[in-house]
Amino acid sequence: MIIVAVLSLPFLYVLVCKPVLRRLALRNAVRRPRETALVILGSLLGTAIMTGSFVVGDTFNASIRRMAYEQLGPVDEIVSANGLAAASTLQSRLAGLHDPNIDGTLALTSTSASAASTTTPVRAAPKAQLLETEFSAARRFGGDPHATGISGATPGPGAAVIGSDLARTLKVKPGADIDAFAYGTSLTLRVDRVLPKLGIAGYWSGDETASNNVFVSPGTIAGIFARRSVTAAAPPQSIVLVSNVGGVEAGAKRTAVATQALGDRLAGVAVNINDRKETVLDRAERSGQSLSRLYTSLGTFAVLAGILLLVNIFFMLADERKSELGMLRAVGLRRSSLVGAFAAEGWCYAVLSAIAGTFVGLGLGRALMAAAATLFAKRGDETGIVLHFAFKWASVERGLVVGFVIAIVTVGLTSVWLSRFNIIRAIRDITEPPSRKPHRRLGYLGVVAAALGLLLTGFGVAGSSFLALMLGPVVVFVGLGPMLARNFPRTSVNTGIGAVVIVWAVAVVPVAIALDMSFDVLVFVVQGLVLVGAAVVLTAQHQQAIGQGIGRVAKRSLSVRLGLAYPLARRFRTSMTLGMFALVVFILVLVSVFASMFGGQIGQFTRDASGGFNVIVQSNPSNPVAFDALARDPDVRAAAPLATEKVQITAAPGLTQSREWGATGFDARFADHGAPKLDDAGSYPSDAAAYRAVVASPNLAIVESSFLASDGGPPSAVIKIGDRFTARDGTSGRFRTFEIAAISTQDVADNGVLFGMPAARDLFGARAVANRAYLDVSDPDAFAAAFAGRFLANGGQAQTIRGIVQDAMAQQQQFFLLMRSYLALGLVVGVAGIGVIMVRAVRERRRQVGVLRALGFQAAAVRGAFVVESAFVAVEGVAIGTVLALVCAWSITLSDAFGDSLPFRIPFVAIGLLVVGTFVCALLATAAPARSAARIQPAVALRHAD
Amino acid sequence: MTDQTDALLVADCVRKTYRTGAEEVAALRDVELVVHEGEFVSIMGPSGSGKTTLLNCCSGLDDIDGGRVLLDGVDLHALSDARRTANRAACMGFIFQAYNLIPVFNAVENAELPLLLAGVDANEARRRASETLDRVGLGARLKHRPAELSGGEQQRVTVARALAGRPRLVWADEPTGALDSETAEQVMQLLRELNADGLTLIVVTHDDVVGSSANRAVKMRDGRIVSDGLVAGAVSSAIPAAPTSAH
Repeated sequence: MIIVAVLSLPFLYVLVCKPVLRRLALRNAVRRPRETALVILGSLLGTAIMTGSFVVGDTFNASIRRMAYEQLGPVDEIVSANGLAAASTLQSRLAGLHDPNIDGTLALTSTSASAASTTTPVRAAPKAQLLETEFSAARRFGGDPHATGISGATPGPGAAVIGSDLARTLKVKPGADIDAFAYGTSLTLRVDRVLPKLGIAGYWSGDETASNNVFVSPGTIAGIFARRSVTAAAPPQSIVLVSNVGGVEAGAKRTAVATQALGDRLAGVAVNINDRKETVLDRAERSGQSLSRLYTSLGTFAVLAGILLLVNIFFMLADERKSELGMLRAVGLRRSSLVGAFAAEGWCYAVLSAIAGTFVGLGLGRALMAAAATLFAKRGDETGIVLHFAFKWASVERGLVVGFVIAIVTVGLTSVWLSRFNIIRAIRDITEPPSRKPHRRLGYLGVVAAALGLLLTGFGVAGSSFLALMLGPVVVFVGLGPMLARNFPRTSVNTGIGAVVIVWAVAVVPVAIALDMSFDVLVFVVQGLVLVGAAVVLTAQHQQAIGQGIGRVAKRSLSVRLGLAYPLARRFRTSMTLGMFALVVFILVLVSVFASMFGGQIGQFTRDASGGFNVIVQSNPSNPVAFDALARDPDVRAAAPLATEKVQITAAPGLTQSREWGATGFDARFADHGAPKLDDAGSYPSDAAAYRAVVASPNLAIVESSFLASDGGPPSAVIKIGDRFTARDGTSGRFRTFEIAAISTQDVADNGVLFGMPAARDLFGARAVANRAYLDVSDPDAFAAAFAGRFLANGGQAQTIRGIVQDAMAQQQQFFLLMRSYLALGLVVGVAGIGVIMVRAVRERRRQVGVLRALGFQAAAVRGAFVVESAFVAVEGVAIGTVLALVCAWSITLSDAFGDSLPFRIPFVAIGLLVVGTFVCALLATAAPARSAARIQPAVALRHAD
Repeated sequence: MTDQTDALLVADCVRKTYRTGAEEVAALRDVELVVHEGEFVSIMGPSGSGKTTLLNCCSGLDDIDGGRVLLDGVDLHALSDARRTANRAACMGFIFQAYNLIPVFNAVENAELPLLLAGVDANEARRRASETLDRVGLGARLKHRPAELSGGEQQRVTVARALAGRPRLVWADEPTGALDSETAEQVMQLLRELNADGLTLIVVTHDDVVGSSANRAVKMRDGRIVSDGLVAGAVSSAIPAAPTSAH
């Protein structure tokens, strides 16, 4: 807010200390309240879009952060070890731990399980866990009993205290019986209580948002493990939960030192110290920032459209008041005072629009999150995010400041520019003469800029900076413009520069990809701006020819002639409006094309993800399905069992902080029957050879191309064959370093890092059990539908690979739809803009309309002329945006930025709807001003200009 | 009532009242005026006397509160807005003090507007507009936009626009009000020549010099016609009008 205050000082000075300028500014501002409202409406969208983007980030941040409260509470670190025997070691080592950063520990035993209701119909929770802990100790843990969510006594034998998520899934209440399955046995338990999803009661260390917890009597897990009827099952985990000094979030700040202290105490013991809370909070921060950045970047188009609208409005205001401004200058008002009066009026608009925009932005953020809630929560494996609308005042403040600064800088610069008029010409309302050749000094400055552009290009190539590579040559071309315009016709120079810039902005993407450069969404933003800017310049140079062409076609229509005459004569204004439309349509069409191109990939993705299989099944690791036996099922042609777990990637090229990632061990059966397609098989002659090499060598791994990426879109860091990374088991703490042997296509099945079963056994120990399998079955749909019921006790889940791909694609398409809805706000700017411009145009041309009506122009023809005018600008803007977006998307498909098989597809229906919708909205926005123009009484208009 | 035989324009008891809030101003009070083909009539009077209102009401640009206006026997205010507009396009031309040219059209485009409105073929309209501009001395300035022309030249374009459609009646509202005396005289000379060729002209002015160019002078005060007669020395080029009695 200090920025707002400082920027406001000169305007406040004018308003407080300069009574004449104050009167000019304020009276002009309130002179036409309806138009002032339109100006504010046009300007507030920038603030609204920025605030909305920040609020989206806040909501994601808060929603993920909420998981820290619900699933961890006072738990800051999780010390875990394989097997029940490790419990005593852990407890003895940590007994008497007095560390200034740690305020408590809690012993816990857990094992994965599945649970089901005992009533008919049977309801099941395949992913559940059995937990044992002393409830009295749990309540004391962390110093805030409420934050633990624990209440009552520790459950006795045969009783269970369950979490609210599980109660909801199984539809059970206290007093009901449930079955829990693990290690080949089942337990029937009477539900004693249902605990809220909070802290220890909601404790869950996986990615799932549901905490399907079953707290059982101490010794229960040991009992069923001792009676186990399956040998290959993940053993229970001995866990010590650690709480740091401080609240739920503040405690996580001590994780680094606490982990160090715990590590010292546990030296030599095979344990893992998981900084789960810090990871969740980091993820919250990262996701929030990432989404904010994505929305802000794409929202830039709408914001820029808003800026162009503001400039346009100010030019129209200045045009309308030209003679009075000229008179003021003539009677002695200094240029700076004129700027002051104009800018002070603009300041009033900027303040009001920033405040109103902030509120609209909050509403926008809320609407976006309501629409996104289903999208982000919808994941078959329950790993989605449950969105809860939230915002920080700091974000609201930031949105307000950004919106205000954009508006005030635009207003300030426009005011300075407008004040440079010729007094006599202004008073007599004479058109400014065509600009002369650029001054020699400007030519030299341009040459210097061109030289800097060359340097920028060199930096782009040497430093692998895509933005520098794109903008460098653009600066060179534009910089040479003034010097060329001194010696050649300006139209030819501008045409040439515009065309060259367009060609370069399209060609740069494949060039950058060929140079192995990384890029993100910002690149598309800058590319779009450069392309649209150049196209608008190019069109502006040839507007006359375009208008004459249309005029020839409709030469008998006076409405068409008149409607075209104004936009053709006022090139600057027309260019601003064109740019406004083109920017918005460009990004909307680009996103639509991408949505279509990805959406059309279902078949290809399914083939790539399937290899020779068609179903993926999963089961509870403590009670896995016997996949070898399943392979003998008559419906099953082939089965490839996999062991899936979580690892911490602690070291990798470009990695600054350890990241949790999926990891899957496989054996030769996976490769033999046809594993998922590889994007790059490295030095191996075939995909199968690469898979076999990885099975044979425990030091090799296969990763997907977006390995360790977090922002969506193309990966920000390029992972290459031969790179090395280190993975740490999330339970035992064992390390292993792998070399990347090959890169897979999109990992729709969430396998994560793929390595051989020997490496998995080495890393996960006894937990390296086959809990997932790729199957090739004769009737995939029927098999998948029956699997869960057939293997209920094993927590069996199955999905066809086509179904997985379809779900992923549907989610992606929904995300694109959400993006398009958000970007469509830009259309609001464009459509509102054209409405505002037309309202002002009617006022500006009242007398001319009066003359035309006096001469015999019918009211309908006047209305038609205004409609033609807005239609012409809208059609040009839509055409520029659409064509550029299609060319841009096509150029991207030439590269392998999104995989080598992305085909160029034009979504004719979506683009058709967009184009027609935009056009119709533009016409609707013009309807009211056109109608009011048609109602102008000639006698009144001729008598009074206003 | 005056002799309306073969009259081109007849204003019969025309009344017009402007309302500003609770205040009512009678701009025209039962005005009667008859203009015959080929007349050059000046309507004069002090500011606020109702000259321009009379022009607006008699040309159909503005509505009236009472009476009627007949143009060639057609009651203008009984027509719909569209028919009245078409009538203007077909029968009338206008010359305004502030020129009121369309700034985004060049001279010939401005001049051809009435022709196009009358449905004349675009090429023919262009040819006739060029001829008319040539006649008013602007043959070399056809492609110039209003902003590129002097005040006198702009008014000549206005005259050309008023004439291009070969109207039966041209209304001029202070046609020389924005011009210097030399240019004003040139414009008036042009109007006299056009009248001599048979054009009916009604000029609203408060300038005695301009008024004396006409054959007949109508004087107004407080919304009434206070005198109507031949200008001294003028030779009527049309059927002479009997003096209209003022109410």
